[in-house]
This record gives sequence, structure tokens and C-alpha cells, in this order.
Amino acid sequence: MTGAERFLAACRGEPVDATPVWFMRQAGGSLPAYLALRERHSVMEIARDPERCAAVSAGAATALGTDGAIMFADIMLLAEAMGVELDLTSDGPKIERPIRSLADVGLLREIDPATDLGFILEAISRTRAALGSTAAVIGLAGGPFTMAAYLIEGGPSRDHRVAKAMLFGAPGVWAALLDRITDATVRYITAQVAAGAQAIQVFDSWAGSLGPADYDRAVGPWTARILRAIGETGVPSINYAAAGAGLLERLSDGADVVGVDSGQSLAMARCRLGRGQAVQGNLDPARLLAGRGAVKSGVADVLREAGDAPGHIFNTGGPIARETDPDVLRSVVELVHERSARSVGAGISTRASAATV
Amino acid sequence: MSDPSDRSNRFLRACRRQPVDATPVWFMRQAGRSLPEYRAIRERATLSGIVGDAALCAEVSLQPVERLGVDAAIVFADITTPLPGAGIDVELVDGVGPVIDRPIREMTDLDRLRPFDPGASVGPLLDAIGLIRQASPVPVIGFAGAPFTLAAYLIEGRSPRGLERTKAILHTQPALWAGLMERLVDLDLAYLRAQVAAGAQAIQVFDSWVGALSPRDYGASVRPHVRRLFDDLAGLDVPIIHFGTSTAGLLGAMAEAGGDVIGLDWRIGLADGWAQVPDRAVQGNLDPTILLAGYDAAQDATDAILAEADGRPGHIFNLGHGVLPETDPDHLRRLVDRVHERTARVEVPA
Repeated sequence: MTGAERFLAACRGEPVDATPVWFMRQAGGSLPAYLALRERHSVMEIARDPERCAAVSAGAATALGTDGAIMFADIMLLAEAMGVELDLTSDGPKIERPIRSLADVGLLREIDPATDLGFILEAISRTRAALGSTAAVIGLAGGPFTMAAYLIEGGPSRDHRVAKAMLFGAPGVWAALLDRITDATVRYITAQVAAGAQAIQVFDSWAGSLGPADYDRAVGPWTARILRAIGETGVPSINYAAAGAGLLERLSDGADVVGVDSGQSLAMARCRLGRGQAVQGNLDPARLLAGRGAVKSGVADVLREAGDAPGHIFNTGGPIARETDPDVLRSVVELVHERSARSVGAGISTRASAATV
Repeated sequence: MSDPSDRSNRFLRACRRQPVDATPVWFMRQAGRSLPEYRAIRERATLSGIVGDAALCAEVSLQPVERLGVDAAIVFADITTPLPGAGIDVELVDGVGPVIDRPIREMTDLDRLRPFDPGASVGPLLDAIGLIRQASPVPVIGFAGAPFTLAAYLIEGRSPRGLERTKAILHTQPALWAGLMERLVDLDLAYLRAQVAAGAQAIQVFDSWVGALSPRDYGASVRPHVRRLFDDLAGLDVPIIHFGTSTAGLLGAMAEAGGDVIGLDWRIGLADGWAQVPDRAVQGNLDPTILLAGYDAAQDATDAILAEADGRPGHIFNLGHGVLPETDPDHLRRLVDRVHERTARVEVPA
């Protein structure tokens, strides 16, 4: 199987010849080609230049040997297209005028992906052309809670208390904001698929800071719209939140693949979700900084916990640290492919027992 | 047998999963910046000044008992309070939290850790516990940071975020890790035993950062140490609350390590969390940020939590983490009354 076939089959819960692998935040990071580019260009310059963006996105998949190629695109590019002025700093996006009222929500523009975000769409097409079938191109968008939290807080936040104060105290404003974000997100991801994206990951990275009842009321309905829209394009959807163990069933609802973070057992997650649900995860990214032994045993543990049922995509449980050594990532890809190799369609898995590695 | 209709017994009975006249309530960080009378004291005393003055510390610890009507007092201190007594200098920096100038990174750094002598190191705090016990109409809770969370502070040097250094040491320097955890368990044992001897009637172990670990790493590198702590504390015969945040994937493993009561944060439904630890009492689990949105939202969420607890013995109402400084204490007071009213039982079997 090619990398793209392997990745897409796993998203659909179909048998694969080896478990597909990619890493959250793999594009960029410490790859030499990217570091060289960064000496001359800012992150935003690279993101806005389709040729460079495609080179970074495709280059990471090629250099690391992954089966998926996530686009090098900050989730807040969509907010910018909606008319929000922001700076991408090393501490994350900073928004000059955060959204705090219905009037602020009214200032958000409808987006036209072709004109507002054409550079990303062009980068997706180029990435797809560059990779052929070696790796699937994964488009992305921020999840509704994470986007709203950024827009309301004005930047990253530890407990999202301003955003949650709106969610709890001004539900009308919250709903209006999430409607706007969702409308824009649906257009954005639909355009990404039209441009060549073969799967879409929704990064609702911070949704795990909500309790289940609040998630159901304040996020779930909007996420459902986004996942439905992805489904209508015909490509698989991946829904991911950090610290999501208490929300797992909810995150998987309507998603082809649910991202499992490192704070929970993958075996337990698969048990909760049932065999029909594809899962992605969940190596602790901190292990990638902790030496060969920690990496090897971590990979073996994840594969063992994933079990033999189809529908597992190997990934980290959270974004990798920028300083992660590309050689370590390459070794993880090789190890996963090697340890999970099996014959497709033989009916009985010939995969070597992961328990012996 | 304690009298179940006596309100002062509510909290301790609930810890032991005995029937109560109404669900007990207290709030993590109930003593502190949300109370105007605390802020008034802070104008003339620093944090370490308060912890170092028995009368002042007792006064601050009792303020929420008076104003909020909670069913337990917790001694006012910081998780890092015992560290200087173990040889680690800590500076409490406003807006940053505790900062440790010389973190633990090498085997030789362990030599800087001294055996902890509670009387000599935290005498005023222990005296404060005695004073609270005398003056308080409700039980007094002592506390300590769990070994993992203390280790994370010692290794990272300040309020930990990603815990990459801590995890790197856990994976690559097993001897350093084990040596550090053993010393921190010893520290906790001495510290908590002294608090109980001074009058603490229950203990909360705060493993605030443990949710950053995978269940496997927790099981292999943390649980054995925490279990020794809980096993050795069992002889004290006071209930122990075991609390962490982002623990929805870890609750079973934490309960295996120990604890009569398992603290739940708000990231998991109370009924789902309790189902993971069915043979323990549970404490929680209102999202503290709800209180910033006004009382009504907090009341609705509180009612929903009580519905999940469904009158089962062994629920202690609390937030899922500490009270935020901006919280209106009147909202807290009304919540305490609300919980008591909604859960009041006319007849309680002993």
C-alpha cells in the first residue's frame, strides 16, 4: 500500500499492511530545510507563500517518511480571514481587540476562501502534487471551542476563564460567535477538500477544559455541523482535543477518527468506543525528548494497546515539541511500520506480536 | 459512632461513605484572595508571613468557615511550604508562583535534600492547626503536595507546564527519579504525620500536575511511591483525599495508589468518574470558572452535579480545582446553602 492508501484505509477502519503514522505539528519544527527557510522568512511569510508552504508541508512528510502530511497552517489564519487583526508570536497568536460582545461578533466577516485563504488552497494543491500517493494531505481547522477561546481571550490562556465566563454568562453572544466561526470553518474546510485535501483534522485542542455537560451544550452542536460538512465532502474527519478523556465518546460522535491524547490508555479508549471507531494516537510527545529507550518502549506500548483491530493511526497524543530531533521521528515511523507489518486481506493477521518487542 | 445529625460530623462521615444529614461542602482555596478579609490581611503580611505566624494563619484559615458556612476548614499554606525545611529554597513570586533557583537535575542535587523536621521547619503552621482545631466548629483538613507534583516543581524550577524535563528524568535517569520520589514520600510522611498530630482530622494530597502523565508512566514510575505514602498514612486513621486535575484517564490508577476519597475535576462527569472508583467516596466537581459568570449558572451546574451524585453516601461537594481570586464570596455562600438545602435528609440512619 502507498502511504496515502494506508492512512485513508485506517481512517475508514479498513485493513492495512502496516499502521499509518504522522505527527501533530510535524511540518516545521527542527527539520534542517525548514530551519534554513526560517533564517530568511517569518512563519507568516512561509504560510502565505504557497510554494514555500507546500515545500514545508510535503517536505516534512517526505523527510520523516510519514503516511500523512499535515498542512503547515496556523488555525488562526481563518480568524484573520474573518477580519481579526492578529500577530503570530512565539507565545502564540495575539489579538489586539478580542471579541467580548455581540457587536464584536457582528464585525466578523463572512469568508470567501478563494480570495481570503487562496494561498493555503494553492499550497494544498501543490503539496498534493508533490506527494502523489506517498502521503495523504491532511487539511485542518481549529475546533469551535478553541477558535472562540482564542478570539475571546485574545491569546493563549491556561484556564480560558474569560471565554468560559461568556459561555456560561452570555450564552446568546457565545452562540452567535460559534455560528460565525462554524459558517467560516465549513467554507474553509470544504475549499480545502476541493483543493486536494484528503482528510481534515479538527483541532479542538482546548475543548478538554470543559465538562461533559457544558461541552454538549456549548460546543457539541457546532462541532457536529463541521463534522457533517466534512463528511459531505467525502473525506474522513479527525476530531482531536487535549485532556479529552472525559469527553471521548462525545469527541468521537460524528467523527471518522477520534484523536486520543496521552493522558489516557489507548486500550481503554478503544474499549469505550468499540471496534467500529477509528482512533489516532497516543504516544506522549515528551518521550521523543527522553532518549531511545523511552521512544522504543513507548511505541511498543501504543501498538500493543491499539491491538489488532483495524482503524488505528499512530500519532503523538499532542503536538510534538519544536526541538524534537527529526532522526527520532524517522525512527518512530520505521519502528511503527516494521512492528505492525501484516498482510492485508489474509483474514488472519500475521502481524508479529507487539508484546515481544 | 459519630452523631449523623450533628453538622460538624458531616464532612468526616461523608469521607467514610456513611450517611449524612446533608452533603458536606468545602472549596479548595476557600481561604485566600476571593475573601475581602483575607485581602485586608495581605496588605500588611506576605504569604510566607501568614504561614509563619500561627495566629494569623489560623485566622485566615477560619475566615471562610465563618463567611461561607463550609463544612471543613483547610489550613492555609502553599504546596511548596515544606520545601525550605527539606533544604530547597523557594521564592513565592507574585503572578508567577513558586520559583526554585537551583532545581534538581542531577544525582548530586539529591545531596541537597535534608531530612524534614516538621517542628523545626513548619512549627507555626502546626501551631495554627491546633488553634484552628480549638476554634473551628467544623473539622480541619491538613494537606501536602503529592510526591510527583513536588518533584515536578523541584525539577522544572517553577510552575510546570509541559513537564518535559520531569518526564525526561523519569525516563532516562531512573535512579535519580526513584531517589527523589523516595525522599519526597519521606518528606510528605513526616509533614502529614505532624499535621495530624497537631490536630488535622483529614488529609488532602494534591497531585495537581499528575494529569500530564500517561496511565502507563503513572503506573510504572509514580504509583509505587504514592502507594507507600498512602499505606504508611493509613495507620493515622484519618480519611485521606487524593486529588489531581486532568485525571479522567487516571482515576482508577490513582485509586489503586490510595485514598478514601478521590477528588474529581470538572473535566469528567461526576457519575462517570465515580463509576471508575466505585468503592471510594468522591469529592467535586464544579468548574470554578462558572462562578465568574454569576450565581445562576453556578446553581444550575451545582444542581446537575447533585443529581449525578443522586444521594449516594460518600459525596463531598467541592469545586473541581481552587477558587479563582475574582470569585464573588456571596456566590460561594449561596452555593453552600443550596447544596445543604437540596440534599437535606430528615432522618439519617447512623
